[in-house]
Amino acid sequence: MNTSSSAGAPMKIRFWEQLSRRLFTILLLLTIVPLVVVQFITLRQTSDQAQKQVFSQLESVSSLKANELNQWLAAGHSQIRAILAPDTTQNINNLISAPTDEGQTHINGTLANLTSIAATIGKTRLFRDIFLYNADGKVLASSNSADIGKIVTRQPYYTNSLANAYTQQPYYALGVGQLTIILTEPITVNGKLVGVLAGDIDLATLTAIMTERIGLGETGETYLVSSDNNYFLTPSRFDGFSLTRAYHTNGIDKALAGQSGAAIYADYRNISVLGYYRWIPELQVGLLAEQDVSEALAATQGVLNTSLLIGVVSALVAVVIGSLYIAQVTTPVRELAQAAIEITNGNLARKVQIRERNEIGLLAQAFNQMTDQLTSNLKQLDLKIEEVNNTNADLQVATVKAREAARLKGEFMATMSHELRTPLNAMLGFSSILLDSMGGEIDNDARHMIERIQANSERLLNLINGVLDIAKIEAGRMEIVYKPTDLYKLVDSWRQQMSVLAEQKNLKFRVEIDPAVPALISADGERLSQIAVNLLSNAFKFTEQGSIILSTRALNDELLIEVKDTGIGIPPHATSLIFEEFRQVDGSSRRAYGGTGLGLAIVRNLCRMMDGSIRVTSEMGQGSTFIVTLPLKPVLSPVAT
Amino acid sequence: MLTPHMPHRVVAILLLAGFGLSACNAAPVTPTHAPADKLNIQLAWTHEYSSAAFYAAEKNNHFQEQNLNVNLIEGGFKDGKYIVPIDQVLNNTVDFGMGSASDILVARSQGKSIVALASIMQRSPLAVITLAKSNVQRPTDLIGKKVAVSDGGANQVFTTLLTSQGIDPTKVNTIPRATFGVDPLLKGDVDALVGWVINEGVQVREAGQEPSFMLMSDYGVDSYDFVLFTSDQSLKTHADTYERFIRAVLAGLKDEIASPDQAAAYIQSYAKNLDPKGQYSRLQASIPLLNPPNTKLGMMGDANWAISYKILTDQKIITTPIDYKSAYTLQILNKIYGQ
Repeated sequence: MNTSSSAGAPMKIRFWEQLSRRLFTILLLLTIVPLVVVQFITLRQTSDQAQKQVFSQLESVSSLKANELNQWLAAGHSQIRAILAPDTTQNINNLISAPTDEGQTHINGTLANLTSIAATIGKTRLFRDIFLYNADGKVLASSNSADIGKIVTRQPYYTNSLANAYTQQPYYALGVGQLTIILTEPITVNGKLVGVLAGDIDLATLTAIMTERIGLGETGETYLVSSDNNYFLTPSRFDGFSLTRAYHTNGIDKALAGQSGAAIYADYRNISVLGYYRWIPELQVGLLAEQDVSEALAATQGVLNTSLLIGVVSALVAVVIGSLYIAQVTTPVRELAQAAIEITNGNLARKVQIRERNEIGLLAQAFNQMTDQLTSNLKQLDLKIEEVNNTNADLQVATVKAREAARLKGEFMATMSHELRTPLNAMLGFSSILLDSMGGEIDNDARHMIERIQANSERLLNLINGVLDIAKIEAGRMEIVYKPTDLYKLVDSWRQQMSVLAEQKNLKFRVEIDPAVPALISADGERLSQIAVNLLSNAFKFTEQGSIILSTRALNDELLIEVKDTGIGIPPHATSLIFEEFRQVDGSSRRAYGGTGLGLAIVRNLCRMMDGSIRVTSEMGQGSTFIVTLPLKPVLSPVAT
Repeated sequence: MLTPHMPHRVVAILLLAGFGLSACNAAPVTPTHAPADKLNIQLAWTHEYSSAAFYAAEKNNHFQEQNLNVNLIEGGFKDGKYIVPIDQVLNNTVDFGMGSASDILVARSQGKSIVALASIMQRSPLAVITLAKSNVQRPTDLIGKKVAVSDGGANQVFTTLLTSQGIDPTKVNTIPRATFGVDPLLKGDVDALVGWVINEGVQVREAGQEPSFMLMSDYGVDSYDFVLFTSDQSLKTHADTYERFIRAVLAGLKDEIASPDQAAAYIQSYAKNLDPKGQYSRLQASIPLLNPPNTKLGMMGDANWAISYKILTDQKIITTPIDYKSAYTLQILNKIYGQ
């Protein structure tokens, strides 16, 4: 979401960014996802359950039929053995021991006997045919006269039948054209094999057992598949599937590989079935019990439908109720937003309706309280602003008055100074005349007094000049007049002027000028001299021994005038005060060293007027250095001053 | 198949696949880069269901797996003359021929050095075929009846059947078969005919009649009627190649039994003019003969050879005694089955 929209315009909320949509989506997910999961689990469980049930049913049917099959085989063997009662065996022995071509009647007599027995057995539908062959495999008697004379040595059961009771697994009998099961019992007289009684078992009984479909539903079936060419031993319940065809399915192949178990696979019709396969070792056949998956899992479908219906209805109800509740939450939020917009636009009277006693209600209440507080604060703010405005107006008036007062003061001072200088000059002039004895001789006392008058008058004149300069500056009457000036000459004049003082006080005075300083600069020479002389005077005034150095340098675009002394120095707290009018470091210094206390103030003001500055570095007892920095304005063409 | 331009990876995969196959298959696989050995086989008859195992071996690449290039040569009549497979083998036109045990024994007695290697059919399909409604069920029922029998092997076996059942052959009115069909039986011109249950037997059914069979083998007169043979000399020279050939044929036989539908489709691709339904019925009927209980695919037993030899000597068709055991060899089959 773009939160950097300007504070003024309401934020644009896209369709899916709306809180209600998001909540609705979450609600949908929260209802549908669990629904799907629950449906899936239910289906799996139901399906697994149904499968297990069907598999279990198929297994028990299969087991039941395997038992019936074995019982049926056992019954077959016991019936053959029953024929072999001692007298029958004797008859058979007689028959076999005298088998001549002429003995045909003999054979027939025995055959008749046997045939009647076989007929009785036939009523049980266990055998199609019962026949007797001698140890050489020649059929001597049979319930089916067509068999007599056959030689069974090429038949698969022949060799085994000579030793023990034997069950020949189903094999395809060419003459019959279908799978055949032969049960044999050897006939022994006095421990000697005389022949074999064999029964060609009637598959109708087996078919009846296998096609019985109790417990197998509408689509279920059981059938037997022979390991001989994978032919069906018993028929499929479905039409169009010949007995004598090789059948391969997952179930059939596993059963014929000697395994038993349950699985889902495509049956010989290529229909998906639940199957239980079992290997019947006695017959070397596979017993398959199968039911179509569609039928087996039909119940599952029902459960799925019901639970799906319940799930969908529950989800719908949840969505409807949820939507209503979402509206209940988002409507007041929207109202709050709308109110906030209106308040922003200046409608402070806007109030939000408190509908419910819940967090939203609390929010609305707080919002209203906030609006009230905002209204009250704004009112107070208005009052303060009015007050400040009033104060400002007063201040403006006071400023104007103060400026006017300052101007008047300056004017007054300038006028006063001028007016004071005139009588002072007179005083100085006359006192000078007196001292020069031009007015007659005067005694020493008088001379001394006149000298004091002259000295005090000079001091007064200096003071007045200073005050006049300050006044001029403050009144804005002092003007700086720039003209081409030979700085070297100017500096030399300062040296000459000050060297007298150096001699008087026996101080070293050195003047240095940087050759880089141009000879001709644009400057107000008079004011520049006023600054330099002022600083040098101060230096000589406060220095009792050592030296005074005046150095003039050009640095970048600036002119540096530096006055360095070895005087008493200025305490750190005083370095900023000394440039104010009538300020010296302390009262005592004024008395000790004289001066008006206006010189540095004038110097600073002059520097400022020339777009320059002055600064001082000093150490008590070591001396001070005053540095004036002014813009350097060289004049290229030499012009005479 | 492998060219110098093939990327090495492809070659590696092919080699691996080759090793994989040789590891899975019991039959040793000759490396594919050697030129395939060319073999010719003279079939006993025109393309039909009886050669289905050869078709399956070809179509399912069993010949190719054995690095063989096999030419299946149709038999039957050419220019009005029956193509005699034994002659084809002896004059080195072909490597193998198909025939009956009786044919081979007679040939050997005539000094022709041919030898049987495997029998496609394990049991003889030869039977006395009657209509069920005629109620002729036992050999003795044939006394006084008219029976159509082909000259040669069938006649010998039929005679043996009668004599073994104590029937004087002269009491049965035996006439030579004039056609391959079953019309004389259906029309009642004859009471019985001697033929294959899997061919004439099916034909009777196709004509809407229920046949009844007296199988020769049910009376102990069993013989190998569909045998693969070569010459003694060729076998000596090409024992290894011939072993691979028999392996491929047995694999085809296995396929035929497991997938008769597929085999039927293969027959159709060789014998386009034959009725597919009829071929399918014959194929289905023949499968039990290929793989009956207690035997192995292609295997031959001494008893059947002994019976055939006895029939031939009894009927004085072979007058100079020979060692019948020299007419067949199990050297390849025993090697294949690890005996």
